[in-house]
Amino acid sequence: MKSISPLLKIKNLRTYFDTHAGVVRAVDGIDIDLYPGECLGVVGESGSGKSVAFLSVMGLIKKPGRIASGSIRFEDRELTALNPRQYRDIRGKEIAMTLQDSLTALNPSIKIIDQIAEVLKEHDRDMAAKGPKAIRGWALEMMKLVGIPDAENRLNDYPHQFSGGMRQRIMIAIALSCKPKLLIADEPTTALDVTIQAQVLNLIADIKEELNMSVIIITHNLGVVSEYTDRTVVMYAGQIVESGLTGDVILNPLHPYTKGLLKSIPRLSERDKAIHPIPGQVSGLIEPASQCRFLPRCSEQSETCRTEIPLKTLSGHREVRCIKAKEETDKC
Amino acid sequence: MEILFKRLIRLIPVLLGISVIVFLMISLTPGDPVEIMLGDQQVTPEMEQAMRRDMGLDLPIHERFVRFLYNAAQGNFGRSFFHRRPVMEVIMERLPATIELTLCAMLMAIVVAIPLGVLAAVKKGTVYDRASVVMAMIGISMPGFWFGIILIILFAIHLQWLPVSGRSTFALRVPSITGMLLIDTLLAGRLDSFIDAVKHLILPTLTLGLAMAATLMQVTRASMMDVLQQDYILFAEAKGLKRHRVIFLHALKNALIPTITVAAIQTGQLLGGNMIIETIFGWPGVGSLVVKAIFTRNYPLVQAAVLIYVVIYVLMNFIADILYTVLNPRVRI
Repeated sequence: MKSISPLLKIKNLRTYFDTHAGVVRAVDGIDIDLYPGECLGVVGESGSGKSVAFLSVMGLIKKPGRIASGSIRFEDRELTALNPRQYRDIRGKEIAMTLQDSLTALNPSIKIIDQIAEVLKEHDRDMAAKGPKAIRGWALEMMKLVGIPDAENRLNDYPHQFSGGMRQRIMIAIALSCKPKLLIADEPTTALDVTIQAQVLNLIADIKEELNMSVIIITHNLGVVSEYTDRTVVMYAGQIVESGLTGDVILNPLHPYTKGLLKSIPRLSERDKAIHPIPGQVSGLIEPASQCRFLPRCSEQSETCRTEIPLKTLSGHREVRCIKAKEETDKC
Repeated sequence: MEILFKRLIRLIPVLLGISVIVFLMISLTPGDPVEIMLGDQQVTPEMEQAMRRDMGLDLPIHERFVRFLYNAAQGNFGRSFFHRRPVMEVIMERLPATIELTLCAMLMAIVVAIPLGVLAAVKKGTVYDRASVVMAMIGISMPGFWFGIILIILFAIHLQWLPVSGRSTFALRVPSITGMLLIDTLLAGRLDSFIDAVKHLILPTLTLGLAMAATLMQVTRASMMDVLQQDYILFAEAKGLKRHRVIFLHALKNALIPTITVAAIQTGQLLGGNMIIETIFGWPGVGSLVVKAIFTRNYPLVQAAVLIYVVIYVLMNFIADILYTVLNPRVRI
């Protein structure tokens, strides 16, 4: 794997928001490598910086937000150095993104067909030259590809006329219509029922194989991650706290936060119906103290945690940001 | 279509109610029209009595109201005390001038306000945005009669670029077909007359449309700011669309829904505003006619004119309703 060069290489990315209260360090120095054809899961609760990190990749951080430092390389291009025009040529064409809530992410007053077709018009000159009929045909193909029943008769419908699952499919159709090399799916299943969740994720998995693209699934649902991703990154308070092959992370979590996330999943099999949430919430991202950021909520804390904790690389592509974890692996 | 019809039906009680109010307001205002018309002329009480009977003013008030309603339903609002002609005839003569001015003011307001509002929202928080908010506040709070007089002093008297008052220069008159000079002059193929009509229109249009432009700009700015925060704008950008497409298609299409609704209602309000403006600019429309009629206690004319205003106002609200439905697919039936 290491011999192939990564499709996306994020190095020491910091995305800050300037607010009246101070600088919010939403993303505070993350490194992620994504290889072609790989499916990466990014996990973390609200406020962990996972969405902001990938909006940074899309170049869609708006004021008062800014990319303070770091590098985002996509193939051989440095994204942070692109001008708006060059960025537009990549967005939607080579890197596509879907958002969490399909009801608010699709324009309520534009027909579905036009929302799909405009991506093609924007990015595919050959297609645009063939005229509106060809574009319409292609848009219809995309709707069929993502499994919209009776697509022919629904092209002129508006988003509110579709169900949540169908809207999510439409959003995926829009994202995939230029056959991007990378799909970033931000919470693709959060707004959906469980049965529809599986359908949508299977759809993403199938199309990923078909187009041989890389996929990043941003979620707070470890169940989604365990079933569909190759590798997992766990984020907390703007930092990566653990990463590794998905199987390793799920079966043998090293960071107390990951352990907490796994424990907080409700399980049908367990007699004991109680859910074990992680107490507290993500602490202030303004001027964080130089100590482990998870410390206030950690059940395994000790005095040694009161220093800046580096991300340690372990064997088997694993990384973890916890002093204890290192001790544990040393024992093994 | 059926809903449309139902909404139209609902307008009837509104109009009936308004006609009662209009009738009472005019009839109960102190001042006797006969006395005002006679002025200083010496007449016998018999002559005065005959005049009163002639105008139907000798009847008790409730009978006058029933007669008023009965006639109004047939489009007959009686004769103008002053002009000695049917009221409707007098009003209809002057209505095109008022409509022309109102439409020009509305168009000016829309054309100016929407781009400025969009620009302010897109450049949110910048000097331009703040300046536009201040300008809008000034525009809304400046009294129209004062602004009109300032314009006259500046452009008509000092600079002498534009005429002080009226609708057209006598020598450049053209035969009336629609009553709207901008159209009539073009139909007559007289470019000089057309330019003359435009020159006469500029100052009253600016004065009348100013407040509406300021309000519309505020509405456009606010709704545009709200829309630009929406997920679908982020998603449109994530699609790699050009900035102007995101702003003018994805954002503006949604931001216009409240803007157009407000514009339609405001256009109805312009009709009320133009009484003062028409008087200042000597504009021969219904507004200045009504002001004169009020001073001379010309009841039939005021009643008819106010009712026509109300009908137009209610219709504009109705149109606002319809436009809202057309623009917003989510409420489309």
